[in-house]
Amino acid sequence: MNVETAFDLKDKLVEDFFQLEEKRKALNLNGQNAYWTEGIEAFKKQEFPTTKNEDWKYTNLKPYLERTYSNYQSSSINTKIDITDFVGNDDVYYITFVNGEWSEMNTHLPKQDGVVVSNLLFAFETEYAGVKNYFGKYLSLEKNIFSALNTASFTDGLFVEVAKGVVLDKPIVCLYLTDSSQGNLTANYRNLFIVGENAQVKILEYNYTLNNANYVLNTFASEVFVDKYANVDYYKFQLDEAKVSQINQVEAQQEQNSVFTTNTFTLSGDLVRNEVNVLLNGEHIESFLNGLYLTDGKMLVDNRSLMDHAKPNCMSDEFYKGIIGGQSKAVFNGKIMVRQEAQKTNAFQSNKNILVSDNATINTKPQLEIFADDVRCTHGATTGQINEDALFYMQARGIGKDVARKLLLKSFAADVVERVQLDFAKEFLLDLIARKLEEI
Amino acid sequence: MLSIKNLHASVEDLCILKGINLEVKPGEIHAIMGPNGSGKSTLASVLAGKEDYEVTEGEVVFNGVDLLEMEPEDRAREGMFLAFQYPVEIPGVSISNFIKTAMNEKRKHFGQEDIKAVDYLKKIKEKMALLEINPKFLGRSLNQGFSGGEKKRNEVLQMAMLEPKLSVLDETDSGLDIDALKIVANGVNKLKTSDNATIVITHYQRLLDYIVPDFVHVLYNGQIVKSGDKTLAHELEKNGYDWIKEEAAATV
Ligand SMILES: Nc1ncnc2c1ncn2[C@@H]1O[C@H](COP(=O)(O)OP(=O)(O)O)[C@@H](O)[C@H]1O
Ligand SMILES: [Mg+2]
Repeated sequence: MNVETAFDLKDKLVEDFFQLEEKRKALNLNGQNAYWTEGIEAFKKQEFPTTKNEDWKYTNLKPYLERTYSNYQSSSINTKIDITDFVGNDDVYYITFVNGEWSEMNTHLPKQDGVVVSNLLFAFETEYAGVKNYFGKYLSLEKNIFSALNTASFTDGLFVEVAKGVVLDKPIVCLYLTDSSQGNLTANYRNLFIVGENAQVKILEYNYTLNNANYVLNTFASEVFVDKYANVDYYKFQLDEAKVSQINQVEAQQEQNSVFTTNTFTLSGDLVRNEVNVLLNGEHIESFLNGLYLTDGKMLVDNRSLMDHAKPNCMSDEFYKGIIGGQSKAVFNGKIMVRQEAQKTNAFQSNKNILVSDNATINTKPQLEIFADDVRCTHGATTGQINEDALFYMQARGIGKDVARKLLLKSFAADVVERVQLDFAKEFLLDLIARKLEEI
Repeated sequence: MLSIKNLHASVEDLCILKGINLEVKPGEIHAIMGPNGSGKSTLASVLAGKEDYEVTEGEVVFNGVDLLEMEPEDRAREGMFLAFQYPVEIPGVSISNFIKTAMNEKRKHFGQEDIKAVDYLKKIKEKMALLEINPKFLGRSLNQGFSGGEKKRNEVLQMAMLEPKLSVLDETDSGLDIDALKIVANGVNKLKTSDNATIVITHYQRLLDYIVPDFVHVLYNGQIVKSGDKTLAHELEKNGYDWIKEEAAATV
């Protein structure tokens, strides 16, 4: 049974679709409207999941779907921002979106040969071949209602195309800003990254809430193509405030000898659902999934992943850690699929958690589906409390209990932080963690 | 400096310390010996303030204040130091960062500024040299993957850095080969002044050849059943603990 109120939200979102369609008429889409139309058709056919659905067993959407949200609210915030305030560095390219709308003023893009970075609508309007060849290729509309919703309702997003052999000289930062001062809000962002053979790029996304007055439900869907020998380093800093929820999907395909790293850091927000699915579609691929979640209050952070080993001789390494406090809840579900052909697969998965409050909960579940016989898979999940002996040891050296506790938690998170390859991002993250530990 | 009177302590309703009396004055070295399970580590833990142990009777006065009322970190800042029998491994916290944090917490307690990075480095290198510890250790996670001997030396390094008034060394000799034992003993002796005091807990007499005690006490079944000078240690070495046990049994 589906929740009655969810039907209301669904109706509302279908209505919104037509409003959004009106707005799109102002764009020069040359018949590419079909992408959105297919999205709404698929959306209509599906229902919002309940906890009876295995994929949502521990994440009850009901409270989030009982509200209504409006699309496309303009923000009154349209001043020039200082990028350093948001990412701790200004030596980056950046693009900014506010409530689903591109902020041209707060965008600074590369002018490098072989590199196209733009808002997605621009890529549609200019009919880049990349859009035609890759858009919608990896995100199936039937997969779940949110992939359909995102496709029906996305208003913009980040488009990155890097040609063969090109190495971007600076990382690309994408800011998603939310201002809910006008009422409950939803924005749907769609990204497409096409990284050519032997090309290299680092993409960092940041979610920030400028105004936390009302409830927000954002969706993000990113399709990533990593061609052979390419190297893509992808970061998500999820830093929204307490009324802002997001449903996030990453669908990636890697080709032979490529390296793809996804780092997901969740430090605040309301409901944060992250799904990362990677298809390892060639030999000698390396794929890393790193994650850290520090939760408190009533947060619900749900990380799901699929590492789909389709070819032999690949390595995947999944490393998630969580510090769970307050009445918050964390969910981890990591699936490793090794197909019959994928001999000599090395797949690692680890999820470690510390519960720092009696009311915090974690549900962690590894899932292995292995059809090849010559593989090495290790997985482990642990959940514990702060080590009391370590705490006493530190106190016995004069370190106050509170300082000791923070030092222990910081050190728990340290090996995930160590995996961050960009120094400024690493420092930024350490700073966020230190501040967060003051609250947990 | 330390005055323990009629100290009783229990863990989970099991009475382990059954009336300990001990006076330690500045400049003194006391050795506490005794068979396994007699309560030596329990006494050390109670002094350091481990919560698991409940003091049911008696008092401990440390430099004029009621020690048992203080939080463990305040005891440490006021100069109590316990070199643990089993130091805890703490992954992700480097020795360097740990000791610096501890020193600064103490300095803060006394209203002092944080130690300057250069001064800190100079001091720790000096102490590491004294204890013949490889400087590479500084960056390593606290006690993680250390051998028994490395852990014990690391404890003494912390003692050297924190300059406590009273050091309690709980079986610091166990796990040390004779060379390491000499190095550690030499370190402890060099740190000795007429203002600080040391309690050496040990099972064997050997360490006491190098750290020579002024007093030797025998702890048995939660009580100090015998005290004497260093010759008592030799006697114990020669005759074992059985005669102590028999004597104790006879007086009950
Ligand atoms: N935390 C504890 N819980 C239960 N029993 C304990 C605990 N700590 C010590 N004991 C018991 O108290 C007695 C004394 O232990 P301990 O102080 O470690 O002795 P020693 O250091 O002299 O070998 C032993 O019988 C030991 O089993
Ligand atoms: Mg002991």
